This record gives sequence, C-alpha cells and structure tokens, in this order.
Amino acid sequence: MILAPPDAFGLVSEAEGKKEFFGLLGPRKQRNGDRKMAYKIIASQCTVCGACEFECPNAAIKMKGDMYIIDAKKCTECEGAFDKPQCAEVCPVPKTCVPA
Amino acid sequence: MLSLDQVQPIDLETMRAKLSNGGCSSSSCGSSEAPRDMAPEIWEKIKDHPCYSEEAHHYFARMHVAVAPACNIQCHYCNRKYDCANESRPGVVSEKLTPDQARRKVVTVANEVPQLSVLGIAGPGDACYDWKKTKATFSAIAGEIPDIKLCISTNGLALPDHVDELAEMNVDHVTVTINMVDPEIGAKIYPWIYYKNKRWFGVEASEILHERQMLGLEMLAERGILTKINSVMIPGVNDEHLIEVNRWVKERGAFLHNVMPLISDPVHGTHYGLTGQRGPTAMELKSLQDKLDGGAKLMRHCRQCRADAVGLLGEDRGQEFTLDQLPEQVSYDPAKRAAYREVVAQERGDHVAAKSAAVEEVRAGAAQSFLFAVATKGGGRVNEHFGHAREFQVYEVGAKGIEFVGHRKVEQYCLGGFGEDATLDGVIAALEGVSFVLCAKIGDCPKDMLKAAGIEASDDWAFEYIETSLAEAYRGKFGGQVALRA
Repeated sequence: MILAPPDAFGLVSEAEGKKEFFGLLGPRKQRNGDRKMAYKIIASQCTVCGACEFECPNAAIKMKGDMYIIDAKKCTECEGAFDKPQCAEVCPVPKTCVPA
Repeated sequence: MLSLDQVQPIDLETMRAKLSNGGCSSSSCGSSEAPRDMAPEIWEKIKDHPCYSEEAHHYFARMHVAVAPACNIQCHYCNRKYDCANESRPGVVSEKLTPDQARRKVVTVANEVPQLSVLGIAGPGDACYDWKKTKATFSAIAGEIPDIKLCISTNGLALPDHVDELAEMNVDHVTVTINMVDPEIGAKIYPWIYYKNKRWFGVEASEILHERQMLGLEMLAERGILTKINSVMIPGVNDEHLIEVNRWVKERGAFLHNVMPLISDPVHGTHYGLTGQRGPTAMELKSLQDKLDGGAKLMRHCRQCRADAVGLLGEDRGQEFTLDQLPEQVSYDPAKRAAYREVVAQERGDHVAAKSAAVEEVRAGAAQSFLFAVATKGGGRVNEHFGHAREFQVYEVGAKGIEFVGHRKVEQYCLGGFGEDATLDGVIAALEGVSFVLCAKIGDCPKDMLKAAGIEASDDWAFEYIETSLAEAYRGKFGGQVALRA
C-alpha cells in the first residue's frame, strides 16, 4: 500500500518555499491537509493535572501562567516514538488534547 | 479532669498545669500498651495514626496535601473536573499545591494544630504515578518535621515501581484502592488505564491493574510496610464480590480493609452519577462489613475525607489553611505537638483503662445487641451538643462488648440557636437502626421528636468517656430485661 504521494520518495519537498527533509512518509502537510504537525490543549477543559507534561517525549508541554500549553515547534504528535500522541492517551478529559 | 477540648487554644503552661492536677496523674495508671492481639512493633506504627487505629482517631489529626494531581487510570466514580470547597469526599480539592507550597502548609498546620500526626498524599491523582512531586514533597517535609508519619494512597498501577523508594523514605503506611479481583467486574468500574505509554480498555485494562495491585501489595508486605485496602462498595457491581477481595488481600498481608460506600450524585458529573448508579445505605454497608468480620481487619471509622482535609477525621479545618493565608517564611516549632502528646499519653492511659472495664462489664451481662449513636468532638468523650453535631459515631453494644461500627453524617440541627424541624427529620433518617443517642446537651423538643421516632436521647453522660457512658446506658436501659430473663 502506498501511503505517501510519489514525490515524497524524493525525500525533499519545496513546500512553503523552502527545502525540507520529510523522510520516507512524505511531508505531513500532504498527509493531513494544511494542518500543522502538532497537538494543542483546550484550556477550558484542562484540569491542569500535568500528566501530559511528563509523558510528552519531546518536552513540548510546559506550564504557562496557570495553564499547560504545547509548543507546536517541539510537538511531533509522538510520531516515531509511540503509536499515539501520549498527551491524548493519558489525558483524563475526553477531546482536550487534540490536533491543532 | 484533663480535657482535650481545651488543648487547642491554651498555652503550654496551662496544659502542663492540667496534667499535674486531677485525673490520673501517675504514668502507671493504664498505658498505651499494644492491645493483646497485636505485636508491639505494629502497635508502635499505628498508635498515633488516626486512619489505622480507631482509638487514635479520637486524639490525632491528619492532613492531606494535593501535590500529585496526575492519574493513570479512570474510575467511573471519579470526575476530574470537579472542584468545590463545600464537598467532602475523596479526590475533591480546592487548590493544588507545589511541593514547596505543601511544605509551608504542613509546617504552618503543625505549629497550630497540635493533634497533627500524619501527612498523606491522597489525590486528586495518583501519588505513585505522579511520583516526582510526591517524593519532592515528602523529602522537604521529613527534613523539617522528622516525626510526622508519611502516608500515601494509590490505585496500585504504578506502585510496584516505587516500593523500594517508599521504604527508603520511611513511608510506613500505604493505602491501595482495590475494588475487584475479577477483571470482568473491574471492566464495569474502570473504563481505561494508561500503562506503558498506551491506553488499555475493558477486561484487558483490569487484568493489568489487578496484577499490578497484587504485586504491589506483596512487595509492601515483604518490606513490613502496613497496607490499608480501600474498596468502594458499588451495589450490584462489586458489593458481594468484596468478600472475595477481602480474602485475597488478607492472604497478601493487608493490615486493614476499609469498605466505603459509593458516593454518587448526578451533579458530581461522574459516570456513575450520570447513569443513576446508587450508593449503598448505611445499613447495607454495615451488613456487608459484618459479613467481612473475621477476614482482614476492618476499618469502620473512615470519613471519606477531602484530598486537602486538615484536622481530626470528623472535622475539616482546611479552610483555615488555604494558600493565601500561609506565611511566606515558616519555621517549625515542635513545642505544641510535644506538649499535646504528653497530655494524650496520660489521657489515653485513663481512657484505655475505662474502656476495657466498660467492655468487660457489658460482655458479662449482655444478651441483645443495640446500636448507640454518640455526639463527640474528639478525646473519646461524649462532648458534643446534639444540635451542633455534624456526625454521630455509632457503637454496637451487646454480647461482643462495645464496638465502634461506623459514623452517620448529619446536617447540624441547631444553627444560630434555633432548631430546624426539617433538618431533624434528616437526622432521624440518618440514625436508622439506632436505639439510643448520647450527647453533651439536648433540648426537650428534639428529645421528644426522637422519642416519637423510637430513639431515646440523653445528656446524662455529658463529658464522660464514651465506653463508660455506653456501658451505663446499656445497663440502665436494657440491663433490667437481661436480669429478668436470667
């Protein structure tokens, strides 16, 4: 089964006007539409328990003010590390750690 | 006579003065020796722990600090969003603390509440899963108050990973919540767990949880750490099953088994609350506890306190010690706690002697058993007004002697000097099964209304020891019948 579009096998894409290395699965942009490759926390639902902070393999989650936020630059949606994003796996409130 | 009621506000000199006059001033009178059926080293561990010793809960206070809010399982009786200062139930807390804020809070409380003997981390969240914060808190506080007992509560999933560190930190008491030993039943209680970076569901989740709980329990027992098992009694789900749970945990060395009633209300937003799962009645709970008698030792004096509770088990002074009231700089002054311990050692010796005499007296003459409710604010005495009581302690008096069998929470009947009839109806309903009420003071009106409901109330034993009062009341009320039959 082919998951990535053929041009992805060139390993290099000119998306957003600059050259980036995307690996064999192709650029995320092409797999998931225009979405950035990151999760976010819906602040109004968050209980501030902090489980996501220490489960995040990228240290992308930090306390800011009295809320936890995900640094989109560091978030990889746990790709390559785990089957599913760890913040969403451990979060006790449904639909609170969601794709940005 | 020594009065523990007065210990809180008075200074050291007054406390010492009270020690030297009246009552039993000789240290040889009674003692806090281990009960006959308990090894001395175990008694030493539990004698000041209000949750592990029913006797201690008349004298000593606990406090919980909510420093470890992250959890690795979901239970159907828990809603992590819930937060209300007026609720008193496990997992509920108004403010979460950092380890350093917790240190300031504990030191402040230790300086002002001389009864304080135990510091627990008991939710919201799991103390073993959110381990770094638990450990940082305990290390900071053990450094300042070396004699405070450290205690945690956990669901057990992450427990085996930290047993050795618990032993190193001198954590003597660990509570594990175990609601099932059959994963099929577990699947009805736990929708999911988070373990090894993955969310597990259904029976598979409960199989993992069960194995980890049993492993953790065995590891604790091997290291001599006392364990209390909390089980939530959920009618129709695990009520009868808890008999088997009791057997399993006893075989694995559990010290105490605490069966608690499910608290379930739609406004709490829990799965059980929203789906109409009810909790057991006071008598259903008692009947299950009676069936468990003879298995692992039962705890019957649990108040299911808040995760940030402060004070004796029946009271909560948490609101006096909120974060905004804590000083920036604190230093521990051991004087008050030390003086209180001195007073308690004396008082307790007297109490133990009075208690065993009363129990023997009842055993000798008893036939039928009756439930008595006692209004007390601590110190093992009948010392609370009927109208001021927020709870009654329930004792079963009869052939087995005098046994504490539970408590009944009530709304205060008398607020601002006037009694509310509607509240009194609630109190009467809460006293289901009780024949006799002992309190420090009661008016004629509520007394008559209780009598109409078949409950006799008396303030004849005001400020006496609970067991002495119960024995005399039992003899006075039922002794005649016993004598006639004999």
